[in-house]
Amino acid sequence: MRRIGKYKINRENLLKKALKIQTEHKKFVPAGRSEKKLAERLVSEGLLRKENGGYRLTERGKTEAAAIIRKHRLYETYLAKRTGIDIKDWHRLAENREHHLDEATINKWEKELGFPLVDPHGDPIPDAGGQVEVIESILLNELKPRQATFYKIVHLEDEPEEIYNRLIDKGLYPGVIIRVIFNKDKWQLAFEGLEIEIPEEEARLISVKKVAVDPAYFNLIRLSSLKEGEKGKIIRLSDALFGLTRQRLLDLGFVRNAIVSVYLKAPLREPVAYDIKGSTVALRKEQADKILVIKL
Amino acid sequence: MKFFGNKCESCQLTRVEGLTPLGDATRNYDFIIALAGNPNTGKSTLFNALTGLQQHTGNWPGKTVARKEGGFKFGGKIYKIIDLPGTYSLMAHSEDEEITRNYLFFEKPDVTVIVADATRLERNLNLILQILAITDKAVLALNMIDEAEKKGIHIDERHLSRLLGIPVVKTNARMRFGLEALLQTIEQVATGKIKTRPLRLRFSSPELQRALKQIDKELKKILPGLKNREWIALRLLAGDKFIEESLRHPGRFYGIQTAPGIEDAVERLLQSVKRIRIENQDRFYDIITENIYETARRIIDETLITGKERIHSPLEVKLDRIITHKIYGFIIMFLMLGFVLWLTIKGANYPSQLLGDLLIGKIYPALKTLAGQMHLPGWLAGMLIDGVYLTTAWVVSVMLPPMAIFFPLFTLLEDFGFLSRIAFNLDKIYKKSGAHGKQALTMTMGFGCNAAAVVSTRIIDSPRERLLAIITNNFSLCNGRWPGQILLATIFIGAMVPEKWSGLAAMLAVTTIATLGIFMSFAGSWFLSKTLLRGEPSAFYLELPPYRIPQIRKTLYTSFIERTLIVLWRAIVFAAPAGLVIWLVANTHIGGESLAAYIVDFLDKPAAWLGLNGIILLAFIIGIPANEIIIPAVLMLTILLFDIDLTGVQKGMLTELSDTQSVKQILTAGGWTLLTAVNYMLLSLLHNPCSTTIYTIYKETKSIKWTAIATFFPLLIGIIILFLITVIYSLTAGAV
Repeated sequence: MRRIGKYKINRENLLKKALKIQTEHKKFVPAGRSEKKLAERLVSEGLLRKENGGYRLTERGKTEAAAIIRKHRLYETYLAKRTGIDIKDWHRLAENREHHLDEATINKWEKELGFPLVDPHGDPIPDAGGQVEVIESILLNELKPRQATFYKIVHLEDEPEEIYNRLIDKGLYPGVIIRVIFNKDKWQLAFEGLEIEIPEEEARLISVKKVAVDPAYFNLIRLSSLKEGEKGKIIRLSDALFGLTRQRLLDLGFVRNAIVSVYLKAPLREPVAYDIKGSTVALRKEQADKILVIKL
Repeated sequence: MKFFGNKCESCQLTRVEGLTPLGDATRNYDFIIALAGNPNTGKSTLFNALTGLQQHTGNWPGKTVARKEGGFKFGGKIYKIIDLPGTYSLMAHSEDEEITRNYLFFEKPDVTVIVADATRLERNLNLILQILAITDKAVLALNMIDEAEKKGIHIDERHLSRLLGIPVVKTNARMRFGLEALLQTIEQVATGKIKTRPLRLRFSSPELQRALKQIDKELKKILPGLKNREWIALRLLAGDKFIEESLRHPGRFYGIQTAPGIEDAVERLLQSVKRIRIENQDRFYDIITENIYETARRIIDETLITGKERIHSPLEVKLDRIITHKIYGFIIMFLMLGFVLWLTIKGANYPSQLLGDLLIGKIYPALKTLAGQMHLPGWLAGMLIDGVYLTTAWVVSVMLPPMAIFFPLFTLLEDFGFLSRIAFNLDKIYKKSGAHGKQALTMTMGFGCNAAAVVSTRIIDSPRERLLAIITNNFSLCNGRWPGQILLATIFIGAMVPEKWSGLAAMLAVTTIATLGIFMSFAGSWFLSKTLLRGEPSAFYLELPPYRIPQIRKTLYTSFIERTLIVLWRAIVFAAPAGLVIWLVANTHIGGESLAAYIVDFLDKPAAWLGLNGIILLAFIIGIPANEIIIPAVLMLTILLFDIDLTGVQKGMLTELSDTQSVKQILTAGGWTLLTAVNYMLLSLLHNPCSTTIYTIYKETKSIKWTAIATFFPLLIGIIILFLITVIYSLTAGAV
């Protein structure tokens, strides 16, 4: 990897921070002397300007900040869709690589990835011109009882990392559809045949969006839980299936309403061969976990 | 391979009236036809049947990697035929699909022949319906129709033809059944005698309908006269940048004259498409595929006349129960692999000897005599005949027979459907190592030739797992390394036990080395998954094809011809220069000593650390172009440097190795011990790939970094293991 000066990293991190604060309609006030010094330097470069006791990004500053975020999110998407690196490592790796990636590489990946609009956390990816689309959502802990009960997770905040990792381990990814059962201080969630409780500190990281769903969702189970000879009807593919994997599964016939039956388990219990649309396709548990069916 | 092409045509059994294959000679043609279809539908078989070319066929996606071209003549017209890569769809962002999609859409062949597997028609319809959305003239070949009917799947092809709006012909490309009808139909479609009206995609999803309607309206307004608007709209919704770009240059791509100011209108359209995509969370791929499969289901319901529609015949179920059984499955697998290797090694002996007798026993002395008659200077004759010719001859006679046996056998197992079951059985272990189950196939193929196996890793479509398969492939002991292993095991290990057991002991030793290689391929994948290629195993899907009786004669022939030519080429390109080097090193003298002596002297010290000697190291360096040269080089150099007097053995040239006694004599005189032999066998397993393989790795990865890693990773492991063994040996035995 190319050696990058420390200044470039600090500068880019500051721009990112400023943009994040600015989109929350707050004022960016530098924390500490070194940050203030850096902010002043960015003012002289025309990226920031002083504004009632704080700083604001100029148009140029905004574009540059968006470009860094674009790198970060596209890199995460790349990791998610192409590498198979663990979901828990994406953010940390991207925090580092975003400073080292050049435009050409990023644009190439964007093309290979099929011009994704959101990253695997559900955050929108700015386009090459720095435009960001905003996605509406509510935080899970702010939901009121007697609201609708079916929600789709649209975003998971990846910091603090420890709590984020716990959510991932529980199987809560962006795209998962959950049924929220209101309780006093606990959030009880039902999804994919599971029912779990999460504390407030975890609920705070989850942004959700109301969805209208089929009543069949009450009986959803994972394809992987079917036994040899059993049959199921596919209701949906989890959003945690990305990119080419998802497209391939669809192409092979794992589409909504398709009837799938378990033909054969491998001698070591995995993979499992399924009969689908007149042909036989073997899948590993990870993929079969993300295909949601009702048992017939 | 054209010169073998017309043989089949002349025999009455398979003759198609009026068809003249033209191989790849297609300069002047009347029509272009394209072949498209799912992987594993017999597309390449059809291509071969029509053109007379011997393109290698197989069960795996990506076999036809770039498009292949050929030609044939039928009914007085010349056709150019293009075999497109086999794909499951036309919509994904993969290279194969991009090639197929853009070819069909922009190049517009005169007729698109869609080849479908009649036993798996429903799944095939996904692609068929997509192709019909972009072509006006198409013919559907319902291939493998015999197999379908045996399974009780009867298709009403007339009704299917009415529904799809294109002619449908039942074929069996392997038996050439239906080819004449297919060709006549192609001709009639090409000349316009049959008018086609392909079924266009219809979507039931309201949000998709709305989106398409909106885009269609805009397109009509901005670019009147644009055809296939619906397809273009679909591609825009999928975020196809190529199509977006094409709309920016409608003149170049669609031949449409446009008014000035069109660019802004196009940009506005593209922006609004993007908004639609965001509103629908980019889920059009799902919706479109669902809708296509709905249509497919309706078509199947209407056209399948089926007594008992079943995916698996009872025999297939039984076979699968045994082949994927917890215990028998693995036993069968190992027996089968053992059998293939045994047959390769045993079966190669006789033809090897014949070739050796011919090339070395007869032609070599004749060349010598000829050189004498022509009064060639001694050094030139030595270089060309003792160096270049003899090495090449040796490599050809040792390499060719095992290759010609192994690869056809491998292809037969593949065609039968056995290899995909091996991948299925072993996948769990590969998953634990962070690799892809299909690596089982590329690993097995490595027992034949690592270079060929590296090419075959294309069947793995996730880049990380593919690299794992490439880097660890060298742990499969290839054909070029087997003879040396067997020879040394016979001499040094077989000799340690009573004579009647010696054969068995030698065999066990070689099997142990090969098994260690298999173990290393798992361990290496695991290690790389934790370090350089960090990551969890990614997407995995494996289609289990139905069992099919392979076309034995055809496969033997095709595979044999193909491999023969490759090996001959390889022998000439790589072994010949190596022969020259061996001769030069042995025969160039500086101050009374040969160059070889200097180098060996220099290498002796590091070699001692590894329990080897300088000659072996030098031989491994000389043997980089081809592993099969190493043992002969060791022998030659030992004879030369230790001044061993063997009648009939000349200095600095290769001889036959059939006489194990004299080989043993040479090696023992050269200071070989059991440790040397064991370490040699290990190093032969664990060292850099041969230069052909290295070059192939570079071509496949297009990365110097990964090529270097693939080259040095096994070598490094070999050095570490050899060093450890030597240390342990010297500690226990007290002497190195």
